[in-house]
Amino acid sequence: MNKETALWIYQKMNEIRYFEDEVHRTFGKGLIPGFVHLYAGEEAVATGVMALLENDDYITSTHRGHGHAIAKGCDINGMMAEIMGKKDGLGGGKGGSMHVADVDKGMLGANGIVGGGFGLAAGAALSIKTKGLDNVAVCFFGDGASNEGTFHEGLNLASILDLPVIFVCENNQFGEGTPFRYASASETVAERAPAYNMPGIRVDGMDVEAVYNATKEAIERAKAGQGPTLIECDTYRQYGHFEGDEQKYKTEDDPNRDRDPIPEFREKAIKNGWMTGKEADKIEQEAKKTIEEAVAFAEASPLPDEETLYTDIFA
Amino acid sequence: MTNRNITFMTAINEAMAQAMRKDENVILIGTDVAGGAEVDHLVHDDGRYDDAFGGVFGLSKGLVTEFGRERVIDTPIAEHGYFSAAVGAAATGLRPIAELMFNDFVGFALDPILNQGAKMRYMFGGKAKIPLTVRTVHGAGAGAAAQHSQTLYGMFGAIPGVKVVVPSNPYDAKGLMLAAIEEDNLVVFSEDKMLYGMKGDVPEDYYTIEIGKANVVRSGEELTIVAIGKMVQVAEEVANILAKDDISTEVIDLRTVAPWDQETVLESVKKTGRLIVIDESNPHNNTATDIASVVADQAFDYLDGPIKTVCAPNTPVPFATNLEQAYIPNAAKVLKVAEELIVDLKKEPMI
Amino acid sequence: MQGTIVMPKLGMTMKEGTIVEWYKEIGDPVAKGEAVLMISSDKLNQDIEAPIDGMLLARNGEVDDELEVGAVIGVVGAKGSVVPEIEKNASAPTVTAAEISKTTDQQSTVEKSSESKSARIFITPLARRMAAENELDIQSIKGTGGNGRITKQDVLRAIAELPKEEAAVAADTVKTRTKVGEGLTPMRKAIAQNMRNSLEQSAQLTLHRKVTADSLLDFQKLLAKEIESNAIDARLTLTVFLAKATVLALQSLKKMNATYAEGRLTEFDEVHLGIATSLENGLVVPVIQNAHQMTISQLAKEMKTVSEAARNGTADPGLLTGSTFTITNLGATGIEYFTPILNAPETGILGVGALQDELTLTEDGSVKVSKKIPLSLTFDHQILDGADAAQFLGSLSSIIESPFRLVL
Repeated sequence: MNKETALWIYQKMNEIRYFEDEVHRTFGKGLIPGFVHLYAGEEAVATGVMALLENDDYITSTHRGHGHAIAKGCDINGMMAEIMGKKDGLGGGKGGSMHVADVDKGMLGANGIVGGGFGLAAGAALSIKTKGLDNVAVCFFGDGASNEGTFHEGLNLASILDLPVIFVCENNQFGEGTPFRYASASETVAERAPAYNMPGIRVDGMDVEAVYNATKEAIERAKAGQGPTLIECDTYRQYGHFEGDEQKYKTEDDPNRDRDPIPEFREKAIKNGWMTGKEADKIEQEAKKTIEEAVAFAEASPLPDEETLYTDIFA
Repeated sequence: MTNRNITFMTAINEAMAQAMRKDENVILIGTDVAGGAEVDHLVHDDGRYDDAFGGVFGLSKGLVTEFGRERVIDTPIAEHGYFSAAVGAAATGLRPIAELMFNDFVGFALDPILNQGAKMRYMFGGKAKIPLTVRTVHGAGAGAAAQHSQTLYGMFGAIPGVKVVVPSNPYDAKGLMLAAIEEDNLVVFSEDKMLYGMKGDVPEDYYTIEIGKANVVRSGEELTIVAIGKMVQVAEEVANILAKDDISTEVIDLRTVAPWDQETVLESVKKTGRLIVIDESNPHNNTATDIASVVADQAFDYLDGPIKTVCAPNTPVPFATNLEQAYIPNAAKVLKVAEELIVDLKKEPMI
Repeated sequence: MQGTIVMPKLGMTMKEGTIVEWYKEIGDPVAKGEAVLMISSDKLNQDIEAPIDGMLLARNGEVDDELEVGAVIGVVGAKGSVVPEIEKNASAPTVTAAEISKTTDQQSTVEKSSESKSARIFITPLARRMAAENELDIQSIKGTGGNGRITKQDVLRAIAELPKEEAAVAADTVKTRTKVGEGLTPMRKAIAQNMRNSLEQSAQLTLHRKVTADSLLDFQKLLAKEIESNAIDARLTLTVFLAKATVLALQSLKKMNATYAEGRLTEFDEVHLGIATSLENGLVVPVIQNAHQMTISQLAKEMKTVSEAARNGTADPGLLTGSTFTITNLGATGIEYFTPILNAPETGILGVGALQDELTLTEDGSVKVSKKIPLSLTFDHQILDGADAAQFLGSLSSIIESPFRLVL
């Protein structure tokens, strides 16, 4: 990892955190309709992976997708406006939090269907492979989704077709309100990979560098035509499953509960000489400002025109 | 019987609890129907559990505490898996209530319903019964966007071998839920999330409401409005507005979407000659179009105007609040189509 | 002044006609009533006459051309007057749009429908039915519904606006049933309504048959003796025996022991036998409930009880309803055959006439006097056919002729 990468990572981590904290507050004020699932605590995964992706690489995301979208380069103003259901939102206010997307940035959408992304990512990788492009597709999914049938179908399909896809599991310990240890018969998600004849790596998902290194290797394999990789990132979600969740299932002993990837990375980056304390402070302040501007932008944006209800059904 | 003023959610919770007390073969299965499995601090000293969720809306709260994790079963997020299991269990002696958290998730749960549960009895020459209740949630209005707000009961209702119930108030919710659980067939019990907080008088005792029978909630002579679930409130609002013009409206709460009560609807239309059906489904191939088709066929000579349907538009459910409100059928939309039907009954234009 | 010659309709089914021969050329003078051309339908040839005096101004078609009914074939007018352009198959103004729409000539249908669009009448199915029932011309009704549609309201208004006499007739056809029996005593009114209702609701047909009663009369005497000696309190009239025979016959033809009302045919296993009983001022039908479970003596007793109650006016209302088949006996009045009216909604009624003495040939060829009962069976031809009814009379006769079957 070099200085440039580290600074970018630290910026995106902070943008994500401020963004989510702001969404949390705005939701509390009643300005956001519907369901919101926050990414705070898992920033190391999105940024560690996305630091290695280019604009033309694809990702599929989840209902907890704001972090992926920011790290993939989606317009933050447009995201905030989308989440508030405004005209200037990325989807014109028609998708909302669970459907934030920007296909031009290779972001194939947050997804309201748990386990909905496995096949989509495999399909994006099929496009890349068929067209002979030098890109990859990344499927982000939670530990909850790892128990859907689509997990098995998607991994098996990607493996037999040697598709350039990376399956990144964000194991934040809970599928909705149920601990992973109850819902999964296998102790880890990563250990299922050999059944599909692909490498399965479990990394510390609170450590950006660990995520980054595992992803780097997976991308090399994918681009070399050696097929998919499964990376399980052991992480933690700071907020509940959705805003309003009492989180009664959380305990003092939950793994990673006392950790926060952002100060951890700040410390490591300064220690490794990738970033100075001053640079870090500046990034934090700028990120905060970026998000404040995004909120102002979104609040000022009008509601969508009513006739847009009927548009965008068919191409 | 003691009546209490309780919510729609509480009424359904109570129905499930009463059914589980009455019949030990009744189980509740689904993702987070309790929540917090294997979380130590949720276990009491006497071995009973608290739930972390009690369903994502908290509707089944308390059931795991009373009936234990053997009968209130949290599943992984694996709709196809646990719905298949529910069908298999139903075919072999249990009487499961399987929860599909949002009806939109049916994509992953459809095969067990469409190809297994709905067809086994028929394919096996009557040598199986599937006493399975599928509890699910539909409806727009909560800002839950395109994949958590759809209204799909009509799609379920199009499958032979599936009964579909859509309650409109707490009283009906309890009685229909108990009837659904008693049924020896696969019943989809579809709840509108916007009704969850609705309060109403509900008897404490165990009672059932006949599946397949509509409820005439208001009788009238000149116009019939058939409505489903939440739309019954819209129908009543419209009836009140029309009453100011001395137009007498009959409101029928369909209660059961499949098989819907042709006798009651036809009888009403034969009396009034005019029909509007309100259905929040997308506008094609839904319950409203089916009712319109049967009425056009069976009551043609009694019709004194075209049959009108008021449905959601042919679009996914939008997220933005103003678009979502424009999406949902309301009284103004119904009055607009009613205008053509009742213009000859009144002197002044209505809108 | 001009007059058009139009293709006439020579029969119910004629849709078009063919020009067979023109008698006149354009420019020829013609007199009103003079034959101008001959046309043919698929069966008939007919001369077509000039409608007015004048000159044949135009011919719209040559020999062997087919024109639809109502189409203009030619124009007669004053010499030198301008002839309007005639489209092939153009219709004369007197022909209605409805008739034109019946044509099979697709091209012309399309033309016509676009031409007569403004004249298209929108009317709801209900209003159309009501207008037809009241013989109202829908063209004369103003539609006030959506899209200018004629609705029930408009038809009701049209009925109200009819000249009084017509309105009375129209109203009559709507309300006939409620007016039946008006001005009569309550009992007569009820009878009037029942009789009218019966004849309106069913298709009644009566079959007659004579049955030899000699064996039955012997059997009656035999049983009467038996009963006397056992001091049973019942009079074994011939009607009692006929009732028992009827019950047995009914059980072999359920469709005769049935009701048909509001589109529903209900066949009964039980026989509740109505016995038409005349009173001073009318007629009632007391009912023997569950007659199929009764022996002859029980039947006799029950018939006595109910008919007395009916005559005294003490009959419980329940006793006067619920029959599944009715017997009416005019034997005492000397009537032989008659056509009983169904006790609606029942599907059958048996009329019994006066016993007749007849000369018959015995098996050995000698002549003897024999007793005959004339039977008149009315049935609802909607439900039963003549063969069913004949079968019923046949089985009834065979029981009467072998009366021991009544006690088996």
